[in-house]
Amino acid sequence: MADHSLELLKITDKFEFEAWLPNGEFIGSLEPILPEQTCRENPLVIVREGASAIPIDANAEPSRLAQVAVSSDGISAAMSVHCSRSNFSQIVKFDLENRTFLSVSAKGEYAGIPMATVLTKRAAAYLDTFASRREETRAGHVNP
Amino acid sequence: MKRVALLVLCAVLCAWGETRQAVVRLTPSDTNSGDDRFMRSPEMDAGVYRISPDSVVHPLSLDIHGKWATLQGSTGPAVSANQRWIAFTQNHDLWLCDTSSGACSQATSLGQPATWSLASVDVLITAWSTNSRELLLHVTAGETELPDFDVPELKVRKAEYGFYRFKNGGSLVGVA
Repeated sequence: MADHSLELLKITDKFEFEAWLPNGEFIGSLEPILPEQTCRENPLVIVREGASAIPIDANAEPSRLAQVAVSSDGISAAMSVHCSRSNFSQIVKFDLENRTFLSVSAKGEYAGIPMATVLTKRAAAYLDTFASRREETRAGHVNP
Repeated sequence: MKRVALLVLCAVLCAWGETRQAVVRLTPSDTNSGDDRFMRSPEMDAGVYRISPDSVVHPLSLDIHGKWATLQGSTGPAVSANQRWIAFTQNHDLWLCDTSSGACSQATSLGQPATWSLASVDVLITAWSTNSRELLLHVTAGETELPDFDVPELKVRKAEYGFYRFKNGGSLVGVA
């Protein structure tokens, strides 16, 4: 007897996933973001099925939030904010209960994204996650 | 005549390829012996590795490798946070392998193969939930253009495309 279930969600087909919150909400963007759109203002939203998306506001100036990582307790999320025109990037912490931001790092220069690695956002994520372990893996040895 | 022969050859090769990929279970050397971790290699077409507590990397003998991805999901493989499950797309549907028991099973029946006139319906994996009990899936239409073949553009099938929440009850019996 099957103990799986499958539920069609009322989320736009263009939704670009970033993170899954413990309360069932998702963080992502409602429209595809092109690699060159590095300063688009507030593209990330919190999405809950059947409710309006809640924009995540990081900064008064145009910027783009990305690389969301939710803490295991579901209280906060770390993410990057950057803009190529203003030439800055920063790591921020987002309080998921109060919906407020806290700077984790000072603003630094925008490093850019090498176009050769922009295959898809997901492929890039794979590269980011495992790049540091690649050489060790190839050598047949990884420190967990 | 040449075009028909080409299409027949394509259909036979596709059917053979899908049959060849049939998965039964992970081999004993692939299963979790206790505190192993599993990870996929960064290359899109690479497979999954089991990493034992003594930091030795064992490539899984089971042929699970990435095939393609969109902005909404990929064919995986995707390892759950608790290291118990490996999710991947095979024959257009979601499959799950239990790294503890080695059992693998088809978990959805939404996918459909492409035909000479219709595009496939594919179940892609977006993400595991942090508690490893749910998967966010994206059901999408496959390629409609076959650039290497002189055939008309494939039509998109009528299907309930979009995002799905898949709840994994913990056993691998049945198909949702």
